[in-house]
Order: sequence, then C-alpha cells, then structure tokens
Amino acid sequence: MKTNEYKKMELKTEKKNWGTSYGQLVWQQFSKNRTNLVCMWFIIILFTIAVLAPFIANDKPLIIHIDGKVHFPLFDTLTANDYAVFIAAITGITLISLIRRNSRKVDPFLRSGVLWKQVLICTGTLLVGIILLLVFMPRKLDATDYRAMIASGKASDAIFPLVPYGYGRTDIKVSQKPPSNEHWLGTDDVGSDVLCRLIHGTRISLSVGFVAVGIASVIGIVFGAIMGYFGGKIDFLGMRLLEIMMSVPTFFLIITIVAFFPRSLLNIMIIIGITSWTDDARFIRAEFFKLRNQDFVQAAISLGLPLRSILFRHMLPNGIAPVLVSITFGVAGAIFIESALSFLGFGVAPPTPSWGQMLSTGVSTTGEFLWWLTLFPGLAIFFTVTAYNLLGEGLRDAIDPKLRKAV
Amino acid sequence: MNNNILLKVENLKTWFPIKKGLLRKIIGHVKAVDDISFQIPHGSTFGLVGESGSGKTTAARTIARLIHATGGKVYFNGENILPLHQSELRRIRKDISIVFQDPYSSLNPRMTVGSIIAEPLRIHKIAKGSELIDRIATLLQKVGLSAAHINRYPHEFSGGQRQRIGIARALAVEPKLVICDEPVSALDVSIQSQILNLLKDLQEQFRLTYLFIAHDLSVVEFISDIVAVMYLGKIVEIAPAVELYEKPLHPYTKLLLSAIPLPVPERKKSTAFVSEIGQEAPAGCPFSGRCPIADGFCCREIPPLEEKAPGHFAACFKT
Repeated sequence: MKTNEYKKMELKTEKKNWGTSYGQLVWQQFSKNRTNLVCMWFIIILFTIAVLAPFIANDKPLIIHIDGKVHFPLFDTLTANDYAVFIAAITGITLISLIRRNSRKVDPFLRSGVLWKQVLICTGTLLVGIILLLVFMPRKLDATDYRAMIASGKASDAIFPLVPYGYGRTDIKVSQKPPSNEHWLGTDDVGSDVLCRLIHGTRISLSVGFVAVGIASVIGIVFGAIMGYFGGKIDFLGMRLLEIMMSVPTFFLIITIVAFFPRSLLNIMIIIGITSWTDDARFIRAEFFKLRNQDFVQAAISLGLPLRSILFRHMLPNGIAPVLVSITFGVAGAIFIESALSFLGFGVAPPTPSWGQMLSTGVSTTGEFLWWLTLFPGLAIFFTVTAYNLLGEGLRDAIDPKLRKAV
Repeated sequence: MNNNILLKVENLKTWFPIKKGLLRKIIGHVKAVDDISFQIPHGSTFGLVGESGSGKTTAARTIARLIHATGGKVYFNGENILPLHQSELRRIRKDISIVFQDPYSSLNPRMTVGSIIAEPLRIHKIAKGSELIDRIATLLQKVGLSAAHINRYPHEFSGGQRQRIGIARALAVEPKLVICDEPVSALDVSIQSQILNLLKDLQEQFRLTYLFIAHDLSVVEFISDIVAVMYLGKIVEIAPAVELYEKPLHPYTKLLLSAIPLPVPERKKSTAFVSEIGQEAPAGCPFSGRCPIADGFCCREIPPLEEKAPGHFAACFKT
C-alpha cells in the first residue's frame, strides 16, 4: 500500500482505545527486572565501544597542526569497513527509534504495514551504502609516525584519542610490559597495547556473535518452518538430517572445517553459522506443529489466505519466542566458540585483534605467566557471555508468563 | 440438481489411518466420518448434533476442505469442491467461512481486531483504503462491538466478545455458507443466548445459510430448520427440527432428548439408559451395543437411512 493511502486511512480513534501489543507486554515484564536492564545497558555500551573503536583507540591524532596547516589524520585513515559499521549502527538506531515512535504515534491497526516499509527502506539504504563503500572507497595507508613528528617539532597541537595506540603496532622495545601509566593494561608479546586490542576486539567478538547467529537462525527458521508446516515425509527426512548434524561434535567439526579454509573472519562466522542452526530448527518445528492445528491458523486457511501470510503473519510471530531466547544464548555461544578457536590458533589471523587470541599469548615462549594478558581478555569474554546469557534468561522469563496468561 | 440446494453432501467419508511400527504401516482406520449424505437449502439452518467423538467437527472441516476427504462428493452451488486444487479452491474459500468453537484460540493473539478482519477483505479484494476501515467498523457494530475496538488485541476481550469478533471475521468475506462449529459451547449460558440471537439476526440480514454444529440439543432446537443426528461417524436421523423433537424415531435420538436437563413437562422422559460410547463400531448398526431395542439382526446388518415419514429419515430397523 502507498503512503498516502495510509494517511487517508487515519482512524478517528483515541489513544486510550489502543490496545497493548504483545511486544509491549513482553517489554513491561522484561523491564521490571533490574538485572535485565543492567545487562541490556552493558551490551549497549559494548556496542558503542565496538562502533566507535577507531575514535577511542587509535595511533592517529584527531587533529594535528603540521607546518601551520590543520590535518585530520584519523578521519582520513578510516577504512570502508569503519564506515560500513557506522552506517549499520546509524540504521539500527534509526530503526529502533522508529519502532518506538510507531508504538506512540501510529494506530496499532496500521502498524505492521508501516513498520514493514520502514524496515525495507532501512535495509535497502544499509545494503546499498555498504556495497557502494566497499566498491568505491579507496584504501588509504598512512604510515606516518605522528608522535615522532611532534617529538621532532615538525607538528604541534595534536589531540590524540583516549588510547593513543594502533592495534597493529609492533614495538619490541616495550613488549610484555605489565600495566603502567603508558600502557594502562600492559603490552603483549609484540609490544601492542592490550587496552587498544581489547577495544578493537569487541568489534570482532560482537560481529562474530551477530553474523554467525544471524546465519544460524535464518537457516534454522526456514528449515524448521518447512518441517513443521508440511510434516510427513519432509519432516521425517529433515529430522534425520538434523539428527546427523547434532550427533557430530560441533566444536571439532568447526576445527576441522577451519583447517581447510583461509583464516578469515567471514569464514569463521559462516562456519559457526552453518553448524549451529539445529536448535533453532527444532524449536520452530515444534512450535509450528503445535500452531498448525490451532484454530486461528485453520481459520486463516479456511479464509483462503495465501501460504506466505499463513506462515509469516499467523504462525511465525506466534512461534518465534523460543527462538528469540535461543538467539541470545546463541550469540554468547558464538562469541565463546570464536574465542576458543582463536585461543587454539584457528581464529582470525594477527594483527586482527581477538579476545581469544590475546588469551593465548598469556604464556610467553619462556614459560612465564603474564597475568595481564590473561585476566583482561578473560574478563571481557566472561562479562560479555554472562550478559548475553542473563539477557536470554530474562527474555525467557518475560515471554513465558505472558504466553500462559494473555494468549 | 435442485437450484434451491446450496450444499449437497453425498457419501462423504473421512478416515484417519492408524499407523504402527517403525515403517508406519497402516493397520486400520478410524472412521471419523463414514458415509454421510445430506443437503442444505439456501437460507436455512442445518443442525448437526451428536456426542463428542461422533465426527461432527470432522465432517464440517472436511466440507470446508481443511481435512482431506477419503471419499464422497460435496456439491457447493452444484459444483463438486472435493477435487479442486488449492488455486481453484480460493474462489470457494470466500463463500464458505467458519466460526470456531474456542474463542480463545481462534484469534491470532499478535494481530489487532482490525487487522484480523481486514486481512481476508484485502486478500479477496473486497475493500481497501478508507472503505476498508468503514467496512470493518460496520461489521464490528453489526456483531455488537464498537468501531473503537479496531485497535485492540484479542487478549483484551472476554470470551463472548471474542466470539463476536470471530463471527465478524467469518462474515467479512460475504460468505454464502457459514459453518458454525459449536460456536456457543465454550460460552456462559447467558452469553450463549446473545450469540445465538446475533447469529439469527445476521442470517436474516445477509441471507446466510448455516451448517450449525452443537452437542447441546436445546441450542440446535432454537436455531435449526433441519436437524441431523450423528453417531459414530454416521447420520442416524434427519428430520425437520420440530418433528425431530416431537416425534423422534431413532432410539439414539430418544436417548439424547431424554438427556436434556431442562424440565419440559410435555416431553415424556424415557427410561434413562446409561452406557458408555463404544470404542469400536460393531459390525452391524453402530448403535446396537447401547440400543435398548436391538436384537441379533441389528448386530449383523447396517441399517440404511430410510424415509420413515415425509422429510423424516432414520437409520433403524425397528421403527
């Protein structure tokens, strides 16, 4: 439907006649628990750090005066990847604020249509933007040592980010130094700043978590929905395939696959994604089996609604709850698997920072135990995984009683 | 074929296979609906009664093409709808709609009342834009709700109100036949009468034809023109409502009528014979196990549905 049609369809109903949607009910229940909110804010802060990582930890100054001219080296050296992350973050924030606005401004009756359009426009912009960036953005390398320039007096009035080191910097002179004023969390075996690598590692961990679980849940939902809706032979074959997948120990399968492919972040995301969809598929299948015989689905069939509408408007929104919970747990699991892979040396290749990889440098070649290289990445992994797990549990508690009471 | 007949069911069978073992071999069938025939004239109400498990709901859902039929023919407006493919079926779906028994599970909890009613209207291209809103508002008012309820969710309504929403959804597509699958049995008695009166009013307004299913004989008596009694997947008696209640022929109908708890002085209560419904249908008359007047012959032969009086059919050797 077109936008002006929606405007024409303005309902003359007052706001007090608006009902509370299921999402609002779940949110009310969810926000009652303080732990949930703490975890949510922790994850929001993690996201902010991940998005703004180049501004928090970078060896390029924000502003510098060279020969009397003002330069912005940090902005000049941002890569296409960084810009892609910014665009994604902006789209995400826009979408969330749009959803909040919808629940206040748009009639519930029209909401799904409006939201659908908003999502389409946002994802469209996001995809086009990222593709354009990756194709047209030139790669810029800036090997200038601005600190040396300041020391030699060529440049002045520089403002550096909070952590003035790059994650790829190597400096053998300061390798394996414990925390100090210079390096707040110490340095690793090649002399990189640990704090800087932790901050940039947030990006890797969160993106692995999200992309891997995104792939897994899409495969799982489609597979499970087909099995659950059609049943019979399709279900039988699908379940046997699923059981075969489940009987293979996932972690060893991932290690085996990783050994055959180049060590890139994308490969790891895809591999984690295509090996961990089985739970989602089983949840969705069970839900669809239950929903298939519910009267409102039978009503939808008897009214002659198309299969697309039956599956995605009537069945999926009612069966998605357990999958949402499993997605939050899945993110934690994916972060954990990525850390474990990197720890074992199968993860992303250095100098790309990853929490698990940093852990593995905790014991030096001479057998000495470097506690700051173990503690800080370990804590980062611990808190992130815990926050996601608590969030998942909070979501499950928020969804469950409502399922019994209101539905 | 008679032009006055909207729905004609001939020898309809719905059997569910019983599967067993690793290879899911079919070892038998549950004959939920076994060879039933009836016809419903335009604008009338056809009541279908029987105890739980007698196949009423299965019959209705088979006619609405929600369950696959094992055999037989269902003529709707003179066209056999059982062999139709999904794409051709959409045409028929618009003309047959269902009001479900349980108002708590028959409405999608994630959709507003407005969108529940709007979806079939959009799909069948009956209305769109501002006309759509007007239609929904009118429909809601017709079933005794307010237009302000458009933006509410089903969980904010009571059982009776939800059933009204269900009726509004069924009527939205301007159907010719409405299958009411025990629409009042999940409701309070006071609400039941409201809903029944509403259904009667709507029938007059829109010239609807009802296939009305219930296990409560007094409900069926109130609303139906013709009543069929089902027992173990078979129709044992069909008669105009008044005649069935005055002069029941089949012993099972008599048993059912004697079980109505209302004190009706004129209706003589027959001796109550209490026995449970048989797990397996006997070889002969399905009712022979519980029948007070059955003899050896009844246990061997299946009685055909015969016209015992004008317009009054019964399947019993003894009447």
